[in-house]
Amino acid sequence: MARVALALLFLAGCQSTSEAPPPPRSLYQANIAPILAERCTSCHGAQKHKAKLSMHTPEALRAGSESGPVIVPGKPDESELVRRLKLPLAHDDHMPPKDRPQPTSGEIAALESWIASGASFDAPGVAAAKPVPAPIAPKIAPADPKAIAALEAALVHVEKADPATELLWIDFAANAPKWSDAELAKMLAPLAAQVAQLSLARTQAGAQTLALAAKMPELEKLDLRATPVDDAALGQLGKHAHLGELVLVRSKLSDASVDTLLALPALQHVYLWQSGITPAGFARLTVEKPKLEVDAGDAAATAVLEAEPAPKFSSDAPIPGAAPVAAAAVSLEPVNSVCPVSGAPVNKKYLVVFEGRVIGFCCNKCPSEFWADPEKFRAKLP
Amino acid sequence: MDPRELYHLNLTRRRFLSAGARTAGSALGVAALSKILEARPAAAPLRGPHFAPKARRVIYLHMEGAPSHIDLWDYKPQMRQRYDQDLPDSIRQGQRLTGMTSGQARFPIAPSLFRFSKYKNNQDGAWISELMPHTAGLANELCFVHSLHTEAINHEPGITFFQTGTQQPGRPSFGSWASYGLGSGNANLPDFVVMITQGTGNMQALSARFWGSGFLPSEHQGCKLRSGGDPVLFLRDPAGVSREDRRAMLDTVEQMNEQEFARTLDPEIRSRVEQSEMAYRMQMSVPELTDFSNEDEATLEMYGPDVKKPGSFAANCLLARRLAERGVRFIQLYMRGWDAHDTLPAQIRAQSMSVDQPQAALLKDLRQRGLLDDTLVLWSGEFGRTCYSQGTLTPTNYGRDHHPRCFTCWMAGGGIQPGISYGKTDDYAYNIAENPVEVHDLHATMLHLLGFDHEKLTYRSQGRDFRLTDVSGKVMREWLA
Repeated sequence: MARVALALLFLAGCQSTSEAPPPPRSLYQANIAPILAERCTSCHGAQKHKAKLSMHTPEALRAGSESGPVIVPGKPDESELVRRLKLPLAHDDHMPPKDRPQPTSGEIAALESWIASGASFDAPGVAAAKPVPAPIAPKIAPADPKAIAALEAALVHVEKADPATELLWIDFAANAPKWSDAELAKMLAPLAAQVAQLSLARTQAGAQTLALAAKMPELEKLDLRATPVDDAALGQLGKHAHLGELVLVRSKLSDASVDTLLALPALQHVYLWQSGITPAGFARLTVEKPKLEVDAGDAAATAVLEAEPAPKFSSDAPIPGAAPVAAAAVSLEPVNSVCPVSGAPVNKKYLVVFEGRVIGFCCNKCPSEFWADPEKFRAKLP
Repeated sequence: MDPRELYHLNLTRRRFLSAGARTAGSALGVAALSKILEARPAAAPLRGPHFAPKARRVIYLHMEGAPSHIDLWDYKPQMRQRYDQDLPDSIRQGQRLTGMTSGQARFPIAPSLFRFSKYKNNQDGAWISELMPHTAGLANELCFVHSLHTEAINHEPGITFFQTGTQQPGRPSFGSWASYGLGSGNANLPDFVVMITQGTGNMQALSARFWGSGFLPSEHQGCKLRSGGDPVLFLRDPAGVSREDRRAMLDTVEQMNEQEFARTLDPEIRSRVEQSEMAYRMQMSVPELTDFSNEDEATLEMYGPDVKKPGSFAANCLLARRLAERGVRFIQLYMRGWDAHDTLPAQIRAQSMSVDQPQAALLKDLRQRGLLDDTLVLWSGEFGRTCYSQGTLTPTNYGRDHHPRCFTCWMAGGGIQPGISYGKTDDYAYNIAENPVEVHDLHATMLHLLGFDHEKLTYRSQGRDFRLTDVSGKVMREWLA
């Protein structure tokens, strides 16, 4: 279903890129017929109809080819059309022939989703019926190379946070203690639009830098470990809309900062070991923001589920492949208290060993009934 | 690339680096640099991964000599009932053994002497030996792989394979590839740092080429921090030489190197210049790195009583955390002494005691500082050990020979799924029963977490593109968080 939804989105995307608003056409007319016209109808159309197949009209498509229907509404996997499109290029049955232009994966997905949704020829097109706004990709301007070069010259590490975007990861680890709050703010200001991950650990970062960080729209992760950041400085972050992870380990906060943390709407993970925030503060965070992961450095050791008794060695396990040795029953206490056949109380005179367990019966007749079909009584055993 | 273009790039880069070093840490000298920086090609790509990484750095705890998976991580209660029975031929299947046990008349099954307990994790629990109580307490962070196997049956080729992706010496070490691909995370420290702990058990040679850069430019080789005296040799200025004198000397040598480079275009000259500059910066950064005086008592205590002993595994684990904090890309610790061909129970007790508390402390310390998320920790030997006893088997003593057909490693942090186990061995911990994993697969997965397509991180040498995973390797998606 997700794939269908995705493909429909693809269709919507196709439509929204056309310049004038499209006339109300069906999905088939708007999106499917053009693909068939581009890829198929030169051989399977009005002029030529190889294999007695034409695909230029709904009627022709419904009629199928000499070997039967090419579309099974609702079932793309059973539709000959899709099967042939998806065969390996080298396969004799692959369509279009390998020397012809091939459909894109988006086009194939569009055909599949159209068939999956019933292959209707007059269902309204997605965009025509209900305009879907094209997803607005955040357009980040490339970072100023001079600002990056200036940081690198000062031995600051600058790297793309994700090579597919213009977003940056900046780490001040080298010479960290020498970076003053004012200098940090000055050097970072030209890159405020691109910074996504910022490591200020062990620097002198404070109110100025954090006031700038508040204006970094893409900032997701901020490391303030071992900085002199206090409640007032942290408060500069305000209601930063994106910030998801915040490391405040060994900072100079108090429980007053709990309000700052609660006000950050996107915050998911916060590290507060030796931050000055007390267990009461942790408790408030957990209660008021239950989805927030708070790491206070006090995680308990993993629990022991089961402990092995002192190991005892023996050689009495059968050697694989050797003849099985009959095991002696170690206990003659039955595992059940009522007879599985009659339901009457067990008499310990009538015992059998079944699958390594001792089973008791009420009388000498029940065991034979039990052995006749043990499966019948299995449910009655404890 | 056109050699003239290469020359231009190198020239720019070198001036840039050396000038940068002079103004290290201050933004004031930057303006003076702007002329040079403008010469930097505008479209010069930032160095780095192919896609957004999960891990920024690696801490690789290599257990040199190959610890026994059977006594530590791979729980085999079935063996307890097969004490002193002969290893069935159906299990051994005529596979090769080392010369150390191939002449033995019998291969008696030696169950582990040590008790195991099941610890809660994110699956149905992890069975871990009593030898590793502190590490076991972090079972919910660890991803165990029980079905790793290797080609090599001896230490030297085994470690070489683990480090470089091939048994033959001469290729770049994993850390060198990481340095080459990622670039520096802290220009004041090497990208690839190596530390060694002498164990108490039987030790094998540990060659410096394990952290060599092979055909990669030599600035990518591992830098070994020594445990006694100066952490890095020849870093200190000789008596009577001031830092200014050193700077002037380096500048003059650099000018001469520049002339030589213009004449020969030999890239090793550039490496040499970068290394001199790195050494100059390390004169300041290394003493700060190795100074534990600002560590609080609770932290030191967590790493255990050995932490103040330079070169101990505890001290090296603490240093590893300090290096990770400072942005070093690849931190490799070697713990020597796991090669217990005889008296294994006694040897492994002492070895485990040396590593258990420190490695658990390292994981906890990374976690509480918010560093475990983007630091990938790997714990592994170069192979496993046999389920049968080398030498005489008694109820309290046994030895184990090398066993490449299966062994256990674990990982934590850096995009690895926490609290899971992957792969299974048979009842004898001899053959893999489920989901075999090659060392190449481990490498491919680790590179993936660092943001690299392991097939595209290549370097051309002698007319061929080489990669860490050679012609193999697949990313183990099942391990990814």
